[in-house]
Amino acid sequence: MQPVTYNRKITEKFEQSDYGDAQQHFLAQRVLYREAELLDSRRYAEWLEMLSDDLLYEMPLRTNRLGRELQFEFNDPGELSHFEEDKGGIALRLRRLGTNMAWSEDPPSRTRRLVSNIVVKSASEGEVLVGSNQLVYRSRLDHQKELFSCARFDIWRIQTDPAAWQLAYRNIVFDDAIVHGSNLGIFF
Amino acid sequence: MSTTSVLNGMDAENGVIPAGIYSDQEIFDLEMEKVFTRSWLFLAHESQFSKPGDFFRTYMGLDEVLVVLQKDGTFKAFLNQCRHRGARLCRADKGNSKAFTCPYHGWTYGTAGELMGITAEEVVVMDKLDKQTLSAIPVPRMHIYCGLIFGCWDENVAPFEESLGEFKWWADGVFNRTEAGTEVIGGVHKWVVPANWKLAAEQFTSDIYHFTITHASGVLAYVPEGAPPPELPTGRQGFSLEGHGGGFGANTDFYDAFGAMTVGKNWAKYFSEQQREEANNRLGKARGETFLSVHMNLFPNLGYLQTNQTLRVWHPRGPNEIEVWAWTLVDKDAPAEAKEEVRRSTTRTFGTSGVFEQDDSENWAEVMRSLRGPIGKRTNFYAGLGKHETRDPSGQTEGMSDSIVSESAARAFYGRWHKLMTS
Repeated sequence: MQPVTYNRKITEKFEQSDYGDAQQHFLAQRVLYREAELLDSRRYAEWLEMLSDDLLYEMPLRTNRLGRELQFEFNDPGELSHFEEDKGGIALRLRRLGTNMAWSEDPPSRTRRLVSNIVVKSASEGEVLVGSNQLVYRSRLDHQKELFSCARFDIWRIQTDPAAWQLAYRNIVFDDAIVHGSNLGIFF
Repeated sequence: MSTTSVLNGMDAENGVIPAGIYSDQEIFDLEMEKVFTRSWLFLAHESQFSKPGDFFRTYMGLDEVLVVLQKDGTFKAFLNQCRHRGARLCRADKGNSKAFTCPYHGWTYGTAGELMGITAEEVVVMDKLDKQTLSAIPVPRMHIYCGLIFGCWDENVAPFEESLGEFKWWADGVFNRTEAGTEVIGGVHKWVVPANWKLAAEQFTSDIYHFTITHASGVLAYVPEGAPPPELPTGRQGFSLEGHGGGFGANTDFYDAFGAMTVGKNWAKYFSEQQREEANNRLGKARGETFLSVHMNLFPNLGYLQTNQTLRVWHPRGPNEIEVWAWTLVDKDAPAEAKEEVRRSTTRTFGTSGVFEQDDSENWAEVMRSLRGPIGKRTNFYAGLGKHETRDPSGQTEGMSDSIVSESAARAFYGRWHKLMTS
């Protein structure tokens, strides 16, 4: 069985970098928990402030492949993704949610994000690489229930004050080949 | 309600649509047979294949098929089912293979679905067995239209282009605009909507009416603050008795601005200059320049939005479930940076996370929520809107058409569906 091949530059960068120290790990965990709390509480304006102006936010498609073609399990860069967003695109999505006419989120989803398996690595000056797993439970209306599982490879721009850390890059490894739900109208 | 009373209660011509056609399991079972085994169905786009043995796994209704590029450059499609005990021959979504081996007893089929090998044949086959009679069930009719590969289970179906009827004039205006044609960006967005496939198909056939309400949030997110609320477009709705239809906007300036805003500058420049000039030369100004397809559906279940470049199949999964498969279509001739804008914007607007897509699915699911009880299922819905024209009074367009905000095309869609269901 071939190991999972995630053909993105970010995974190479993770492999080549050294683990961060305990303080960095502690702060990164605090930032991720804070982010999850903001999203679960629909405090989107505050979440947007955590995003760097040059943000790239990606979630490639994943497919079922033959055993000998498993290296192609993920779509290549340049092919379709579930998300391929910059900060402007995220802001646009948030503006939509703020119109009170975004029917698929009216009434809104009740979400709970469980973040775990945090790995922190030191990258270039002023940045850390943060890997994590995330399980998102989404409940909506009376009967709509969804569970989304993913891994995330992030680049955070760090400051002394962890409240000022900004997300510069996020690559989301989605664990489904078909989205079992009407939409991915929430953030990961 | 019985299947017969639901079908008898339908009067498509006058827009009387019994709710049972969406919710009833027996109706669903019947339409899988009557509609989906007798209509041309979209299988894949030519550009998904480059080498012999390249395959793509998809569905025709509920039946799973493999589409494979042959050595001679043609395509074959066959049921993804072993003739011995029926296990699936292939579980991968796509890939390249010289053969497909059943994981149950190991029977092996070639790229055209021909049975090549029976495991331990010399031990288990006592009498002479003609392997040719045990090939995978072939899709007998195949046709490629402007790069789109279609198949049909019915050997006697009308040729594809004939089956478009008078809608061919409109469909050519959408898919046949350039000599180089189209290609898809790698990958297919797939998601599941708890609704009946006809709600999606009908909307893409005939419904621009929903746009300003259903998509209010998406539009407001795009337009500058304080901009006037969006208005319904002007133009024509083209359709044919074969059940195909679409809305074609006439306000070229509006669509150029909309394209620049939602897709990007490079795309808008390519689309409004290079592509339009070529389309004018190939098709004439009525289709090249004046009319742009905002929405369309080829009967039964292939939807396309030219303004957002999303091509999708509404795979039926039961009366209350659609598996949507959405491809992103671009012109081969478009510059790389324009293609990139399409890739990003289609994902943002009509992909799994799309800001317009989500509100469509939500409303289809809402319809289904009202069809759970006996009273709700007994309702007749009203699809009688529109001017009820069948020709363009200005003579500018050909074929059957009405004003763009109309349900004429929906009535044609349901008329075709009803005809197949009762014959």
